[in-house]
Amino acid sequence: MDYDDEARKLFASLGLDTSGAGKCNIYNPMDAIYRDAGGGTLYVGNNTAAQNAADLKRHGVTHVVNCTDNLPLYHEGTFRYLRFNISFFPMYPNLAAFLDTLFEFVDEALAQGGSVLVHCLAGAHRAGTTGCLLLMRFMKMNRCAARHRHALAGPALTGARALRLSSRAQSSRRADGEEAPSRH
Amino acid sequence: MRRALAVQTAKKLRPAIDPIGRFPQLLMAAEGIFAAERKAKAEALPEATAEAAAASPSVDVQ
Repeated sequence: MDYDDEARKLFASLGLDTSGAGKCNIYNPMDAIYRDAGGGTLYVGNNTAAQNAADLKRHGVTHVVNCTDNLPLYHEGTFRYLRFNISFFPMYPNLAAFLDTLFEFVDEALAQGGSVLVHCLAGAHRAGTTGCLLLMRFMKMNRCAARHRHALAGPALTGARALRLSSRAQSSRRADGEEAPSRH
Repeated sequence: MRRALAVQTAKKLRPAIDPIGRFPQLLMAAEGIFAAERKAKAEALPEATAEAAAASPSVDVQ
């Protein structure tokens, strides 16, 4: 599967240009998906977010996970980088060791109170899956997770329709002050 | 955290998140790895406790 192509399809469905640039009220360059007790936050985002050093600094990002094999490490020297080529995972004979490189990198950032951006082109498929792996790894089944489980019902949707439906719910939750899950 | 719940939680906060292609297989494999780690930890815990008890000096109270 060509994940860059899938990202471009997503951009097209949202009315964005092929790089993901443009305005869309149901799709952000990056979103927080996890807050650590030590103060760090895990963000999943796209190529636009990865290029904006000022915005990353404003969000306290110290570490960046690039989940592609072709996008540059834009700000080497400013942030610490890990190239985590997730789409190549079937080529790794030791999956646990492959995943450990990711977990150790993110652990290091969070232990220092830093925040992490996990990105690919769209922040949907490669970075999205990496974000799910990190949630599975770092978040235990606490009351926060249970709350999310109860809040979410019905079959998972994909594509632009899911984005439209979810964004309505997300806006309402944000208005209610709901935040990213955290480790306690 | 189980993979379905992780995906739901992540999608709730970033609706664009969508593990497609072979990624569901990866999440399933990761879930297996985490489960094996948990099992190994749980099995090691009683052994470690028993070893610690055996290693601790006994005190005779007279």
